[in-house]
Amino acid sequence: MGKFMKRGLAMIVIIITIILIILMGITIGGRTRISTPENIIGKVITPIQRFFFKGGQMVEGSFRSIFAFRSISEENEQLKKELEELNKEVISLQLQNNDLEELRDLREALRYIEENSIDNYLTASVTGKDMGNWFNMFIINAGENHGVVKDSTVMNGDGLVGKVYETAGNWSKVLSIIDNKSSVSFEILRNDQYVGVVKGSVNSNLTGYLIDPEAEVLVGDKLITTGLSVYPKGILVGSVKEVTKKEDELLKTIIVEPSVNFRRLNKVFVIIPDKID
Amino acid sequence: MKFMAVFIIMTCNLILQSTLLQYFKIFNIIPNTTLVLVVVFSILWGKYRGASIGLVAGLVQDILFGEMVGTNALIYMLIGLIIGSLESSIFKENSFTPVFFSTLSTFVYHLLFYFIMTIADNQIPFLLILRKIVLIEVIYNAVFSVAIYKIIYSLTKHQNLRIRAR
Repeated sequence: MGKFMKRGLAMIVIIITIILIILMGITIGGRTRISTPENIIGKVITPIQRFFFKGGQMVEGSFRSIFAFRSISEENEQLKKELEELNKEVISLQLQNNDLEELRDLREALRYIEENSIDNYLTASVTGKDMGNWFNMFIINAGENHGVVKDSTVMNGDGLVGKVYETAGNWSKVLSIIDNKSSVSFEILRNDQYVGVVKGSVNSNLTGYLIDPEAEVLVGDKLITTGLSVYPKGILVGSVKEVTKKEDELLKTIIVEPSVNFRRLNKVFVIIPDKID
Repeated sequence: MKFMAVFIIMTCNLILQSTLLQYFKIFNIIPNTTLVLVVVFSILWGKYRGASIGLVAGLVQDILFGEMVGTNALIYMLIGLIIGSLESSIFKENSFTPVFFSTLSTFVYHLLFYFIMTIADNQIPFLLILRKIVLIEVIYNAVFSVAIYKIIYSLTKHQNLRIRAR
C-alpha cells in the first residue's frame, strides 16, 4: 500500500509538472485574452487589493510628512524658485506658440496628414504590485470592458510607466519599463537625430545605448519616446544619469533615471488605441 | 475546517504581500512570504499538503502577476514536496528549523526560476540576480520565517489545525 502510494504520488507530480510546463509554453509572452477562471480570481482580488494598497499609501504618506518636515520646507523654497523660472518660460513659450498656431493653420490649408495626438485615454488606479523580485509587474483596475487592449501604453503625469501585458474583464497586468523584459526606443529631446534603446534590468534601473556612437549626449538630457515601438511619440522616459563609452564597444551606453517614481505609483493613464475598422 | 483556515491564511498573505508589504521594501527587495508559508506548512504537515498548498498558491500568484502561468506553481509545488517528504525527520520544536529551510528554499526557488527563465529566453546575468536579489531576500525571508513559523505553530495547537500525531 505504502509503495503504491509512493508511486502514485510520483505519477501525479510528474503529470502536474508536465501540465504546468505546457501552461508556461502557452502563456509565454502574454496573451490577448485571459481565460475566465483567471478573470474571476482577479475580479475578486483586485478591489480588496485596492483597499489595502490605498491604506498603505495613506500610512506611508502620513509617516513621510511627520519625518520629512524639514525637507518639505526646503522643497517648498526650491519649488518657488522653479515656479518663477517656469513662469518666465511660459511667457516665451506663449510667444512661440502663437507662431506655431499660424504654421498649423498653414498646414491645414496645405492639407497635411494629421499626426496622431493622444486624446483617448482613461485613468486607472494601481491595485497591487508584483510579489516577486524578478519582475516589475503591477495590476490596474481597468480592463477589456473599458477598452484596454494588449500593448496599450500606460503613463502618468511624470512620464512613461509601461505597457499593458495582459488584460481581463475589469483588470489588467502592466509591465513597467524598468522590468528586464521591457525595452523602449527613445530619442533625445534636445536633438531628435539621436536615437537609441533603453532596457530595464533586475535592479530596476534603465540602461540603454545610442545607435550613433558619435552622438553628443550629456548628463541631464531628457529622453522621449520615438513612436517607433508600441509607445506613441513624445512621452517623457527619463533623464540621462551617466554616460559611458567603452573602448572595445562601438555603442555609447547610458544609464537613465526614469522620470516616474515607480515606488509611489498610484494613478496611471492608459492610452486607448483608436479602433481600426 | 483546516482547508478553510489555510485558504484564509493564504489569501490574506497574497493580499498583504502585493499591497502593504510593498511599502516595506529594503534595497528594493520584498520578502517572499508565500514561499515561507509553503515551507512552514510542509514542515508541519508533510508533503501532500505542502505540495498542494504550494501548487495552488503559486497558480494564483502566476495568474495575477506572473509573466508565464505555471512558473511559481511548479517551483512552490516542488519545494513543498521536497521539504514535506523530510517532515517525519524534522525536529519541529526548534526555531532554527524554519530559518534553515526557508534559506535553503529561497536559494532553490531562485535557482529554479533562473533555470525556467533561461529556457524561456530571458537572458539575465545570474551573478547580478545573486547579488541584487537572492542574498538580501534570503536574510529577509529568514527573519520572516521565524515569525510566521511561530504564528502557524501556535495555531496548530488549535483543535482544527492539529499536526499529525506520531
